[in-house]
Amino acid sequence: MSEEFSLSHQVDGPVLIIRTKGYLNDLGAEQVDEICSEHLEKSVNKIVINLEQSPLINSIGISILIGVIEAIEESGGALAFTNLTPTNRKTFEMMGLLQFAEPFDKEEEAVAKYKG
Amino acid sequence: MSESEQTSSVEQKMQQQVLRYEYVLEALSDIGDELCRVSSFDAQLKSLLHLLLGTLGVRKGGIFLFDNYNKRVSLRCSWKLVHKNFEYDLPHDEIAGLEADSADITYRTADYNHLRGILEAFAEDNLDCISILKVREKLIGFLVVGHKLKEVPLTEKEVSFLKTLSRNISVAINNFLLLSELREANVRLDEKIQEVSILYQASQMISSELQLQALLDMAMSAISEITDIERGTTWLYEEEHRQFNLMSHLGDASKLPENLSLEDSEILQIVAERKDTFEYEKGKSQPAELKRLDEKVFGEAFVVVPILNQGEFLGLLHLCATAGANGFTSRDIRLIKVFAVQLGAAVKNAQLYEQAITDGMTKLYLHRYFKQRLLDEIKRAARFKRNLALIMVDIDHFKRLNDTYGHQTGDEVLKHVASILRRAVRTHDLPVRYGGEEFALVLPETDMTGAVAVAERIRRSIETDFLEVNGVVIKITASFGVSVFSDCADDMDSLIKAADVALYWSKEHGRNQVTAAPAKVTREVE
Repeated sequence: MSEEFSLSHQVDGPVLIIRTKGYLNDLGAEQVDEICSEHLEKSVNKIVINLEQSPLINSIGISILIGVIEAIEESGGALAFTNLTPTNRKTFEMMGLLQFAEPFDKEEEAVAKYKG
Repeated sequence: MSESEQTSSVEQKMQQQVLRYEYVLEALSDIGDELCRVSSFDAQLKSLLHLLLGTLGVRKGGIFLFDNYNKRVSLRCSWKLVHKNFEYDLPHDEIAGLEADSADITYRTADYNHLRGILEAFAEDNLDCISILKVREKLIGFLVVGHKLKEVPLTEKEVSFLKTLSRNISVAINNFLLLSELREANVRLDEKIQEVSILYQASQMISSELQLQALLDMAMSAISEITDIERGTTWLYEEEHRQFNLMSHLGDASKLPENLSLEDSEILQIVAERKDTFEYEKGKSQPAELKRLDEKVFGEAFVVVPILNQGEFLGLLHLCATAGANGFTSRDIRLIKVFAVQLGAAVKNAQLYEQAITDGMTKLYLHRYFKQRLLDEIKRAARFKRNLALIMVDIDHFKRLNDTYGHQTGDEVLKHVASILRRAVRTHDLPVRYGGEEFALVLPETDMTGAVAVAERIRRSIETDFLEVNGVVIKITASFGVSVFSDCADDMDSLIKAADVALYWSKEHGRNQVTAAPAKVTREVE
């Protein structure tokens, strides 16, 4: 049905950057939640999720991102989504995700803002 | 606000609505997709739960399943709930309430009067809604969902989405459960097919074998194909002596006697009387203690299966399961029993055949069968360029023995000599009652030196083993003639002739001796 989901992450100063690959509609997407929790525990609470390589995000993906948003809210951190496709942006908006997370066109813009 | 602005704002709202519906429809089609995926039930449940939460924008939730067998609900899948595992026994009236209330399935937890025990256990999660999962009044379970972000409750519209999605999830779970049942039934069917094919092969193996010994050896190895056994024996019952003769065995046989009298063995008595399969385990079965002989032969845990043919008790199979296997499964026993039925028919066939080719009194092969086998053996010896020896034996002064002691004693003498011959031969040798007081022995793969040695050993046994009939010790001796294919002859008739001539020579020159037939070359020179 879809290519296997995978992700890579890196910590740049106070910022955790997660780059997903593949459709965020698989249970593999739970990894996003795990990595965020891990870093929030270590007080890295500014997170940038680059969704450029994940053009299709269905409700499974949304439910996981909601979990991430909640955890960041609780820790008083900040979350940014970057490189959203127009469809994904519409979905995020409709589901109210963008009230809690800022969208950026490019990953660097978000990282620069959080580092500054 | 201008009129056009108002219109565009309504339009925008409409568009938002359409988008939301589209999104819910997508979730419904994803549920359908999930159904077609080949994955575990738990993985499917998890996907269904995430689909639901993501569609509603809810932070947490869980799916509980109802086990109708023990009337218990358990949390099978959860996301961010306080408990990861939870079990609860549903009282009957609660089940009835949930199954009957079919008009609506989705409720705000605050207004819901059922399942309070469970909802209170999850109070900390501040759950918003609960949906009962059922298909045609049959309770499957229920699911719970929390609030949206910032503890915002679901809108009425969203509660209605939840209801629709819950219905679909019920069907998905029900289908999966039905599919699992079907899969299990399939596995059972596959097992049956496998069993039948094992039995078919085993039966094929034994059905065409007419030699009892070979047949029971095969039976033993066929059973070891059917199930894992550590040790096993086959015994055939001999009515005349009320005893069981050991026919074949697998595993350690050093402690086994050649035969067991029915009188001495409780186990044999039980099987012969019940004519049914009998499982024994020391301490658990009756009799609590076995006689020493029985325990030595059969062990401490075993199964005994009778070999029957149309109700006639022919013998038994005795099997010990592999150590650590915890005995035999009911499937093993069933297969062995079916196999024993086939074996019963095969044993009866072989016994009838043996009766047809052996002499009832001496238990040696008959002349007719001897001719046929000798011809086969000569062909084989010629093809593989091997030797084949023939020994002819004649009891000395048999007529005089008969006249002096009577025919009955004469018969005893014949039986006595026959039993010496039977004991002297190897598996592939053929002891024959050639006629009257004359015997023959066919020894494949044996040359003149070897054959003369065998004959000499038998001669000495006959001479020294005394026979006592009615208190009278009877001295017996015999004369021997030995010929070998192809040293002495090139065909059956001349091979028999050569041994006969040698035997005649022994008789003519003082009896109680062995004479080797001359080689062809010598004869030609003469």
